Amino acid sequence: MKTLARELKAILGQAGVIDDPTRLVPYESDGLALYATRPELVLLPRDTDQAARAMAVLARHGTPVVARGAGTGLAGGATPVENGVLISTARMRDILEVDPEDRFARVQAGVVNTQLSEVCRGHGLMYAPDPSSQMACTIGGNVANNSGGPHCFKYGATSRHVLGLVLVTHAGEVIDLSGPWVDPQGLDLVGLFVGSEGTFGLATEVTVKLVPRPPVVEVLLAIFTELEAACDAVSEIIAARLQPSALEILDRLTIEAVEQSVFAAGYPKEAEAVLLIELEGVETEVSGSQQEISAILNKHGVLSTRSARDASERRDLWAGRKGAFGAMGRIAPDLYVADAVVPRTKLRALVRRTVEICRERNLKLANVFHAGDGNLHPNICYDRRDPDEVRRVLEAGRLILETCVEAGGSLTGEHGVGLEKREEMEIAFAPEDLETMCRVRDAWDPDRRMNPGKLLPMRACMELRTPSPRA
Amino acid sequence: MEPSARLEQLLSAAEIGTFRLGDGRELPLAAPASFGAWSELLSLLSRDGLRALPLGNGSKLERRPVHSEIDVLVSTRNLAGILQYEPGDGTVTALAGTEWHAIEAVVSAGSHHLTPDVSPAGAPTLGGVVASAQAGIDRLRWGPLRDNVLGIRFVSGDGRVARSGGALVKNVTGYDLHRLHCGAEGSLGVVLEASLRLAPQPSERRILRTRIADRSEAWQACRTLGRLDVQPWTLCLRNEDSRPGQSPWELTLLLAGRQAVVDWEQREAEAAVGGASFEQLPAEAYDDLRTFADNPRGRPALGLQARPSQLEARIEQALQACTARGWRLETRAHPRIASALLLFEPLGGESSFEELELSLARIEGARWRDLPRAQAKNGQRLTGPAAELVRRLRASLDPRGVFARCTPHG
Repeated sequence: MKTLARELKAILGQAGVIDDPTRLVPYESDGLALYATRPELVLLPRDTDQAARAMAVLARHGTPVVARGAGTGLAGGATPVENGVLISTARMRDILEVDPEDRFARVQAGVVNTQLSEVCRGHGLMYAPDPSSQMACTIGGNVANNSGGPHCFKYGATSRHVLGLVLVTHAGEVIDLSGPWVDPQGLDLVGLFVGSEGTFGLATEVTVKLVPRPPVVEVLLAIFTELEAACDAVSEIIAARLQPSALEILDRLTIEAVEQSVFAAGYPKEAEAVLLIELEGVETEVSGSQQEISAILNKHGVLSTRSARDASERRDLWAGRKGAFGAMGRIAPDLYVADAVVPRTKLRALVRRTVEICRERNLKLANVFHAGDGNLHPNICYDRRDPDEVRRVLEAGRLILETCVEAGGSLTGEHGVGLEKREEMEIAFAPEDLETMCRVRDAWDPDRRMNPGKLLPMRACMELRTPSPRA
Repeated sequence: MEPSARLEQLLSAAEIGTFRLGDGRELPLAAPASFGAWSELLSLLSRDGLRALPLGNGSKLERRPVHSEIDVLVSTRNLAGILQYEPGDGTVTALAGTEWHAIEAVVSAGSHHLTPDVSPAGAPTLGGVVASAQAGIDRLRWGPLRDNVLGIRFVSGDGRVARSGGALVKNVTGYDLHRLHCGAEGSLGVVLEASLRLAPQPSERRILRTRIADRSEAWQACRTLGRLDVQPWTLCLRNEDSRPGQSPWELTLLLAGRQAVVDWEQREAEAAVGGASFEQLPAEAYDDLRTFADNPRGRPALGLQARPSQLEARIEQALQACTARGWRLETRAHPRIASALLLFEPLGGESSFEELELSLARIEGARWRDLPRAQAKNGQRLTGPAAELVRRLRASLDPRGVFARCTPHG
């Protein structure tokens, strides 16, 4: 490893390679602290060229590579692997180009999500995907996970906003697909790469679509005395073909945690659930939608509905929602964030079942989720120092996923599979599906050195009997 | 053994037939009616080293020349039917051979809009629309097809039937192989089933048109409209004859949504383009608008893509080439999407199409379509590691090259 470190320092400089064991500790885990492995080295390239040269060295040494943005991922996708090296995009933070006329931007992978939208604000534009971690998470990490966020209900997840990529392959070769193209030139390699969780290669530059900021924004806070009634209201809003830009539900435990934290947003503590609805567009559109939505909320027994008075209150209401995961530290030291998706017609039944699953195992459950997309986040609050509680948490997590998949849902809506849900892929997919995915992965990385052991269950890939596409 | 004899061993009489191509060749056609039969068919073709071209109803064969080494056509026409339409969830799943407009009829009865809104010419199938990533007249509002395909089931070149994604509006479980198949034109496998996201059906739809004599004024009007808060479903420009004084530029705006919003958008649009008088077209004009990308007379055609700010200049290059060589140019452009279809017609002068073609080939972003040798003319755009990656991807999904040499991306 010393020889490898020396070679890499020749490319990246002393500051570009971390090999001091005490400085490696923060990189042992990402946002899923259940798993931890210390990397042998952390590399901090400044640009595509440095990343490519470093990857070529790693290829020569046969070293496994894990890419990391800000380490905010919740599925263990950036957990290092044994005898492996971590490549961080922390020093790749340049915004390379903003074109307000053609509405796109080209950035280095380490640019923080909100930073991009802030830079574009003066042009009346924004980058739409807005994960809750957007103050810290990077565009490269968003690409790896095909990240979402509350406003993906209207705008779609990351893959709908990526127009081009510059990639470094497992072998250290650069593939420039930076576009921006209206349509792919041939096969949609960019579309395939988004959401591949670092198993295909390293994205070093990203070209993204920018969208106009809406002229009018209205945020409604609807207060319910029953969580299930809030779910029903959401299902009916969808069924009525209404298109708010976000539909988010927070349950009572989440509200309590938020209101006791620095993210306190003024959510009523007596509510069993609040439904946060954002409407945007031109005045006529917003007011028309608001009337129709109010009628649906009333039909489902809403206790009260109010509009945010001004931009400041809108910001507070959203800060509470986006800070909810952080606020849950007040309930227990650790948080298990599930991320299942269900058909939006089945919200009530599946939310009820997740509550039952946790109650049966004496676990504290806080629900905060992207109701409009059917993307549930049952958050189980626990203490990892209690082995029995950890066992019950993992059991509940798996059962929730199985229940959602059985109901026609899926394992993950925005956090990715990573290490956490790797084995559950066998619940969601048939062996033929997984084998096909393994083959595609081998086409990108025949050596299987890029984020090994993530996303695909080990058994599925081990059983791949067909010759490598290199042959 | 002849390919047709091999097919007879495997499939029922209702699943085999022949198909006559535009060039007069008659080829055996296999149209399995089940996923299992598709798997067996592809396994057989792969083992026997036969070459196949996937199709639905063959609506795109005119613009998709068939390779001389083709042995058999494989059609999804016997895989038809809607498997699931969930109005409350806004998704639909259907078998690939289902005609696009049959799906549209079902979902529109449930107040949904099926996007892309494509031309009905040739009765396109779901599988064909997905495989060709066909764009519709509503793309400006609802995005490209690949943004609305939620999942597919497909059969690979070696007969493996696999699934990617599902009927969920949000889902990041596993690789997005469905995005890879969108626009791959069957070069990686045959799409057998697809799930789509649906859009709300608008309560009001209004087509507005204005004619502007001057080209640069017409493009300026599009730029102005593009900066408004108006969200048209279509903003397109058409000029039927490039010769001076022959034809005005027709600017067409399709507005759709709530009536009050459409009223507001119309007022905004009219005010913004400085007094250009928009004519409101009758509802039937919508059917014409859907055929905007058709080329019924089979003229030589060029597809252009560029950054929005550069599209006008690219078209100007084509126009100059036509003027210099005595050809007439018809332009159909989507300025905000930054794509255009250029159609060429000789004026009886001395210049051959090959001469014109040489000039047009230099235009950045130009891609030929509707030509007998469009595939060869477009050539391979990827080089180096990207080309090698594509080769490995093909090998991973079609190891024996059943599709690779018979499709535009082959």
